Amino acid sequence: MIDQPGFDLRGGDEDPILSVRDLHVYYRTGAGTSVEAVRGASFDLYPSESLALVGESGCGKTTLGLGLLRLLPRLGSATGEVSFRRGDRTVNVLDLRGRSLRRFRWRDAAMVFQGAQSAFNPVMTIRAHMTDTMRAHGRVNRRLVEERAAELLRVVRLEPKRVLNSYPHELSGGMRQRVLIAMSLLLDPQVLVLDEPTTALDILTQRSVVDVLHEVRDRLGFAMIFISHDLALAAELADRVATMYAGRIIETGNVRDIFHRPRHPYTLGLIKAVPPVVGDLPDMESIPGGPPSFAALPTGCSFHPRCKFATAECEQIDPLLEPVVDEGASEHEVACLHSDEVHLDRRLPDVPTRPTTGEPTTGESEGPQR
Amino acid sequence: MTATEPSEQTTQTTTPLMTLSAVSQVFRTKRGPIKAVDDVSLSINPGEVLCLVGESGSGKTTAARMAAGLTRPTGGTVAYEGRDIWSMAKPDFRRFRRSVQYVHQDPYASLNPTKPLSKVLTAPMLKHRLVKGSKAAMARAEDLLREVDLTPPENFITKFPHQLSGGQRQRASVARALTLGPKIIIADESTSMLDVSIRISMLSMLGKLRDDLGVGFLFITHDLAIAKYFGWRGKTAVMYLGRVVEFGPTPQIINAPQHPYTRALIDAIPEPDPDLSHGKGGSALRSMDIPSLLALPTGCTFNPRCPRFEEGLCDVAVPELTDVRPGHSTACHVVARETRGG
Repeated sequence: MIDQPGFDLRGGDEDPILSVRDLHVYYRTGAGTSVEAVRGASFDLYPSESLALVGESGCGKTTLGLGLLRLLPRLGSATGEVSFRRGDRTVNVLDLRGRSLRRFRWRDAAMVFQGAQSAFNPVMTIRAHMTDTMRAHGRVNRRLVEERAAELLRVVRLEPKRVLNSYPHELSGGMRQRVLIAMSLLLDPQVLVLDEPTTALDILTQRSVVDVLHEVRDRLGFAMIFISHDLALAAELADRVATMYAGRIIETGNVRDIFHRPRHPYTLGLIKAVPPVVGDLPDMESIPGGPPSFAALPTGCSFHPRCKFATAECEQIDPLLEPVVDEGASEHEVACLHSDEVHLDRRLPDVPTRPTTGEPTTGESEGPQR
Repeated sequence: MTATEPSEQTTQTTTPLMTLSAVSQVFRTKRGPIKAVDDVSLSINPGEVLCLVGESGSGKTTAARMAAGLTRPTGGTVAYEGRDIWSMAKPDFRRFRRSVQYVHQDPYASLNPTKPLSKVLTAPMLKHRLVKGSKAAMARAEDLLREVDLTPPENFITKFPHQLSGGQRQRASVARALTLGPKIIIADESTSMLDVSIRISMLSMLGKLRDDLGVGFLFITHDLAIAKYFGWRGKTAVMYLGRVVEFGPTPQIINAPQHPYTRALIDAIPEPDPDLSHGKGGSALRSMDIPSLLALPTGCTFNPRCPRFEEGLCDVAVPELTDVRPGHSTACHVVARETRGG
């Protein structure tokens, strides 16, 4: 495969930090009835790797994230296996109870939820939020707690003095999102799950959050799962991508394989739905319709009613996730009967067409100006 | 548009349908006056798309509200078909308000949750007496649902907003905006709350209205990629802290941006290709946070964040919009000097 720093997935033959096998999540919907919102997901997450979970709203991405961290609401339940490697021991997260579950949450794995506004208590300062978290997990030395909080705030490019004394409403959306990221890292978790970390933020604020995520990951080396409907964000932040549809992972692979050689019509559709900003106006295509309701999934491949490659077979057979044959050693897997027919016919223009914003001092720009 | 509306030919191709001339909006607050929009001039021709781009707090929505006649500017004039809307007689003002319709950002908040779509769509037509009788109104409502791709209409007309998905609600909001046969639709971040995949089909639908019905658009977004897709054949104005800092045909704004702020906005957009985005590196801006409108920097208000900041030049005077080529102007001291022959 393409050898380039930054795309090396493993950094050696290390074991996964988190290993998910056949995870199912059910929500009870009434007496004796339930829907299955995650339908047998399996994947591995390696230390300091970044995995993007992409798909439209209602595909089960958030449910999968909540299921991994045992944060499902009361009506939800999970089966399967989620193995977390804690030093040289492995624990099944789904079996954890009491103190050991508390330890897992936040110290082993933390989550940044969608909607930075609602994650705070409006009558508590940021300092109180941070010290409360530390205290709840047994870190009581005032000075050490304060130091750790200030250090993390600086990592996410905030001014600790000002921010610690602020109330949530005094901060902008982007600042709140960065405070949440800092808070989730207080106890130095090995795994961080971020749910739509940039949705509803302004473009420049999105950029600052993305830059901050790159930076903290470089410094602290945790593994990251981030959930997004925006494929462009995945292209930017992920080492590996898993596409979800109707509660299943239907394609997974190295970020380059996914973006340059997508093999599932749904992944292809998601990529084509992002208008690229460089170059001339592209032909855009949208995926017709919306994701199906979990209460009434189509027969066969759940994507077939929206798929332009679908044939009669697709209404019968629900394909399994299988390695893409003609790509050699890559770990590209896809669940589609017609994966050989799927090709991305659009390649983005080469990098140099991008306006020369990198060197602002040269003052070069195209156009008749001299 | 509607059968009862007399065909008016008051607009000529030379006069814009709507003109904002040097409009300003100052809000009085306890902590002092806030100049949300400062000396902005824009115009929209019939059937034309004008994109208004900028961060939150740049004054896009305030400018749009003035264009819609929802707030009265504290300075400057808003003219519709060449006439100042705030000195119009009542019937004319009412006709103006019919012709300019607003589609809000949040489809969850902008539709009355207690009314089915049939009521949402027929009430304005009946109120403005654009159709005779509720039967004709219903028929027209069904046509509108078809126009926004909510088909078959009989499946949607009886629905309440909570029974619709986000994308469907936003389509319903557009259908409501169409009830009065507008000449201009002001779409305020109308796609920013939608999933990426739905966004494109929503934009294609709006594009169809633009082409088929000849509706002009004031299209507000923070995402230049979206402005590019929807407004390629139109113009784009980039706003920063209440002022227009760059204006021109959309392809030029996207492919040859002049103002450092426009460049920063374009650079911030993640590309759907890891080869392009991984090499992008961090932002070139010197500060991520937008200054408060209560304490604006001296000179060019972008100077504390600007990667091309020059002391003694940028922090002294406010730059005026100057042409960098015909039809493309920007408000930047450094760019202006280079254009003059630097």
